[in-house]
Amino acid sequence: MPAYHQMGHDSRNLLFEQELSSYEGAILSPVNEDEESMTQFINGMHQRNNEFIFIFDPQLYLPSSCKTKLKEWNYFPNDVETAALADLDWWNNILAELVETGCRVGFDRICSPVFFPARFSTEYYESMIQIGNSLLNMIGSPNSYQTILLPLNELAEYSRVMELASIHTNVRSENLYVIFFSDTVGRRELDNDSELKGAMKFIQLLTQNNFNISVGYSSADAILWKEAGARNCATGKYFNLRRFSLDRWDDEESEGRAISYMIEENLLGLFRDSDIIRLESNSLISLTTMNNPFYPQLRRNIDSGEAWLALSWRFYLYWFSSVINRIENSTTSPEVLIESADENWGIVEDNRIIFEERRNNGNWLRRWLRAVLEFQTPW
Amino acid sequence: MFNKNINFSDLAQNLCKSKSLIFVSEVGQGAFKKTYHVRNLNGNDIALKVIMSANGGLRTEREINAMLTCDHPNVARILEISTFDYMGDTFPFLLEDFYGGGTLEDQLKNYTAVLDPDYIYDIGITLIEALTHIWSHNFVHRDIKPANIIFRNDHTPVITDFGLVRDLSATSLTQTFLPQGPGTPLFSSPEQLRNEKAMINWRTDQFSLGITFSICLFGYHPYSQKKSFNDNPLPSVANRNPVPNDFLQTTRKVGLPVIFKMVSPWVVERYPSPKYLLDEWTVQRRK
Repeated sequence: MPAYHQMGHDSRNLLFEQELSSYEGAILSPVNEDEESMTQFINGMHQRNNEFIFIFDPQLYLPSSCKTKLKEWNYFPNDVETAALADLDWWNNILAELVETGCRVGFDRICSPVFFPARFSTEYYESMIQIGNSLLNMIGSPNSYQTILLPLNELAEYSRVMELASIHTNVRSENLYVIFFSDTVGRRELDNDSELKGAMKFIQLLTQNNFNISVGYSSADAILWKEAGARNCATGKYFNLRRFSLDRWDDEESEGRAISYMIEENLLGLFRDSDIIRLESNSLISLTTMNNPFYPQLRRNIDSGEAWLALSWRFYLYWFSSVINRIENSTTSPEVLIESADENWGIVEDNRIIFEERRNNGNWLRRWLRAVLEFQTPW
Repeated sequence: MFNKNINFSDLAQNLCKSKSLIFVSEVGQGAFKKTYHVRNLNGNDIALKVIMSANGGLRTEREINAMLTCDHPNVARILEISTFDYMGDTFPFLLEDFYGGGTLEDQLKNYTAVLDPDYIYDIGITLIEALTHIWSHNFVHRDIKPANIIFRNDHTPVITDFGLVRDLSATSLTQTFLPQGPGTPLFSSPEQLRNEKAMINWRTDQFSLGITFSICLFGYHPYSQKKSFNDNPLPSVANRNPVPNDFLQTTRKVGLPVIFKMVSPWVVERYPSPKYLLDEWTVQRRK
């Protein structure tokens, strides 16, 4: 069950749903939750399912501009404005608090804190590895995860990918928590094939070096990470309508929640109300969608004009764990999924089906396919 | 600070007198120390290493610390550490086991001879095990080469000379602005030649060991285009050119294709763990 929930605001109730039980664990965030309520939540969940794994991401990516509940957590530094972020002793104090917090709250695993640097230099990665190795010294492996924050544009060049992967062989934890990010805006898919190849190669190289890789904040692109060898993938929040970006700590409430989307595996895309009706009338609804337990109600809501936002989340989460598990047990493959979706977009074009969003055209899939076919050899 | 005007041979002989040791001969000189063959009153052969920099230095401290930490029959052992006052300065010195079987470099006869694959296979197992021990303490030797593989009288190999050891749990002593990191260039990995400190780990020694085996088996460096010991492979190593494909065929012929992966230009492409390397070393040879 290599799928993880990436927990966000108001999404904890989803963990308790029967149809969404095929997740191995969840990645927790302190951004919208205080310590007490998270402790209660974990205790409750562990009473129901003791094997469910809670991984804690301390979210110190941009501590100086934090405006959220994160500030209330014990490990959050009170001298962040004046601290030298490159000072390992400073981080060791935070790590000690973080580990104490972890023991109190009951996390199963803790990700090493990392921050957004002014520049993603070799020295930056070296420092982040030192912090991760310090955490490992405190709590051991497999309890610690080394977090790796990687801008995708760093990975467009083959030699840089090899360099970054080589640097990360110095990580001593066996678990890596990788977050790829880019300036791709919400709702658009990642579509730079060089960057995707680089990300896949990075995963493959480190997997071959015996690391277990979990990719955070993923969406349909999780199939690429699985193809490259990632052990786990975590769902992005709101289908990546909001991606991992610098401003995501400022306003967790608003963006991306007003419009409902349904993900359709036949096209590996997201679709709105009227799009779904068009897909149906052109026989483009997949068996996977038909078998999704949330689909019938979702479909009824569309017909009746009722809101289906909550259903759309559940539909997506079910699909996410289903596709990841099918790839894991080899009943499907990313290459087959992408090729098939690309062919189906040809049908969309041939039949002149016009979706609600102009850029919802499947163009990214040829780049994904290229990435899948070419990432293993130098480019 | 180096003491260029010091007569180290005289210093060593005086030191021997004060310690009731018999001075036998000078053995060699590294970047930071001179080595002498001496003997105690029981007739045991001992290596005396005098640090050429008065008052030692951090590198010497790291060397001593590494050797004191390691405890393996195939890793050189320190018998005593002390200092000796000479001409107004204080010189640190080490007494180590002396190994009378010569070095692997001696067996290569000025790099004109090659060695039997069965022999390399056997000493390879011992050396990988010794390095596994060193690596388990978070040390990277950084100067694995035939001259630093020395033999006991019973022909078992011992890894010696920890003068360039890197302790991965301590701050690096190499400045990032230097064009090249510490190491003997011919046996150095790309990350050493390019002073890419962030990439140095046990796989760096794996590379040097692979180069050592290549030269022992075939008489040339795997990155040599002309397959000659006299060809300069360093630009190819530093540029991370791929290892020529026919080198893989060459290693297969002697049943040790494992060497091809050991000398991969990128750290991440070498064997991921010492155990994996040792397993592959033994399994591939059996095939």
